[in-house]
Amino acid sequence: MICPWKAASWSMAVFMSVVCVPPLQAADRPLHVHGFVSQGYLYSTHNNYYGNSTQGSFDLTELGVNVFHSPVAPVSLAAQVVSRRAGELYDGDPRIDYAFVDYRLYSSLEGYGGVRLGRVKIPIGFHNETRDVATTRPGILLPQSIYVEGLGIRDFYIGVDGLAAYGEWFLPRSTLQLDFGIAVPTTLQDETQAAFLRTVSAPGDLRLTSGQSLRALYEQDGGQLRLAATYSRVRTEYRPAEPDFLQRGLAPVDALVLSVEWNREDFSLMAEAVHRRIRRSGFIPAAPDATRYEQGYYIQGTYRLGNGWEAFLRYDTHWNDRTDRSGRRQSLESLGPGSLAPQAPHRFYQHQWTLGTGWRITPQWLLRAEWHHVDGTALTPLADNPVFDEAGGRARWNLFALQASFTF
Amino acid sequence: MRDVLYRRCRGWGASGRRLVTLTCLLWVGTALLPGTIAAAQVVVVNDSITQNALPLATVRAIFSLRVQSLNGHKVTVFVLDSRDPVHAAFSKDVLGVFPYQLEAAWNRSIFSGASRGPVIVGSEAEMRRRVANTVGGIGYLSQPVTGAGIRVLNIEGSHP
Repeated sequence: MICPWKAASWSMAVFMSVVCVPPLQAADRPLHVHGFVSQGYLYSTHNNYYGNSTQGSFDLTELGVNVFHSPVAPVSLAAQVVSRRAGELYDGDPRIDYAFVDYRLYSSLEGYGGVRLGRVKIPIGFHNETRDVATTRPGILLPQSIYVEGLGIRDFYIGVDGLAAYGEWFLPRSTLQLDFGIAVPTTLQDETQAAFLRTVSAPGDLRLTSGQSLRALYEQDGGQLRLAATYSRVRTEYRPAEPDFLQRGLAPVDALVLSVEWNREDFSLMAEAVHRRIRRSGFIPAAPDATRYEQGYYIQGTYRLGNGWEAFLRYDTHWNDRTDRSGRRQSLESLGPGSLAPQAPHRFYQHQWTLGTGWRITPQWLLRAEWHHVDGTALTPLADNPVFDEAGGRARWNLFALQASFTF
Repeated sequence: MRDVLYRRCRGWGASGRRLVTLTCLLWVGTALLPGTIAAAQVVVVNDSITQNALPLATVRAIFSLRVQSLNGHKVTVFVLDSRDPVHAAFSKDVLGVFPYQLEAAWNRSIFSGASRGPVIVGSEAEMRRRVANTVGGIGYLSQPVTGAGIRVLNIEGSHP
């Protein structure tokens, strides 16, 4: 839990930077500063989502400031610091979201290409690169089936230390964009480790040993039709301490995300689907190796009502194991020996309808409200619901969310 | 506990109805405000940009902040406020991109470290002055213009 004074000082720092920096219109200023602030309110029935939301929670605060500098045309330097407070798991400690040097190797009227070195953002689907920036999301909460928070790959999803290469080709009516990212081995953040191992008390280290991602994005007629396919390959290894109740473990994750978006002036239709293979060997003494296939998709229709107002309807669905969509088999297994905690069947799927509205008062200010009707808790934070590890929690529940966001 | 939740839900019901009514009134009020029809817009560039014409895909990529240099010089994109009818008409009719898509592209670019973002100017007069005075400057105006440092850039091909 972040100290209120810490949150206040961060908010103050961000607002001071808004007030003190010269107007952004200054084209000749060498250093360009942008940022975002958002505050959410969540109220839910039965299960918690980001804090104690069954009583009403303000535990969703996102702050960020970035700088951009281009000393000469083909070279740029960019860095962003983000603080994200989201329930029990994400405490708002500022982290470097990205910090890289970009070198554009090639630029012509037919296309361009370049490389980035440092901590880089990895494009996965449509929304991953800016997932912590409220104004860029299709709602207050991202569709969790694709942009899952609690898996051990979140560190890879939010940004990797490594190399990224990009290129785009301009065709007569369309463009084709390719993005490739490769991560160097690194120790995962404590919060990711806790979410992945389902315990905060593991004394060893969870390491990202290898990670690659490739996205192809095709846009036709100025983005009226957008199609994307992303493959990501992440390898993690748990290295136990001495002594440790866990043993060495490997957890390779391979994911394919397919994305489609159709844009009209007043209406947009967007859908993304994921197929993930998650293998596990080791970790728990005497537990057999396991492979499972997660699947999920969402489809969202957004209608723009004019003067900054929009409304959307989304259906988002996820299964932990495509061969056990009801979760009964996995729940039974979790009651047996070799399991760390008994789980109810609803922990292995999550299907939800979301009805939302947004009002962009100015290009900087955005207010949003949305209501989620949820069946299942597979993508609901365990850290906010310790009762999940005692086969507790409710399968059917509702979540209401409000959010105000400001960008500069 | 159930009673508490029930009372709380009833509370939400009453305030929810008020919220819906208020929202509907706001929608009706704001949706009926008249818009201004803008004239045909042209792309204008600083004289340092040597091309007389560029393909539509390149112009879209420049205004989406993906192409950031021409002839080895940095490009500075000038735009009006995204609520300005001239901006909306330029985006739709000249670029063939809906204004909300352009704004989404800017936000993606700014918050992933890909660019500095566009420079937002307050009026067409300021646009004309800033493009004329900025090496690599590119913007748009609702009328063709001639003058020191600034000229019209033609677009090759057309969007459907």
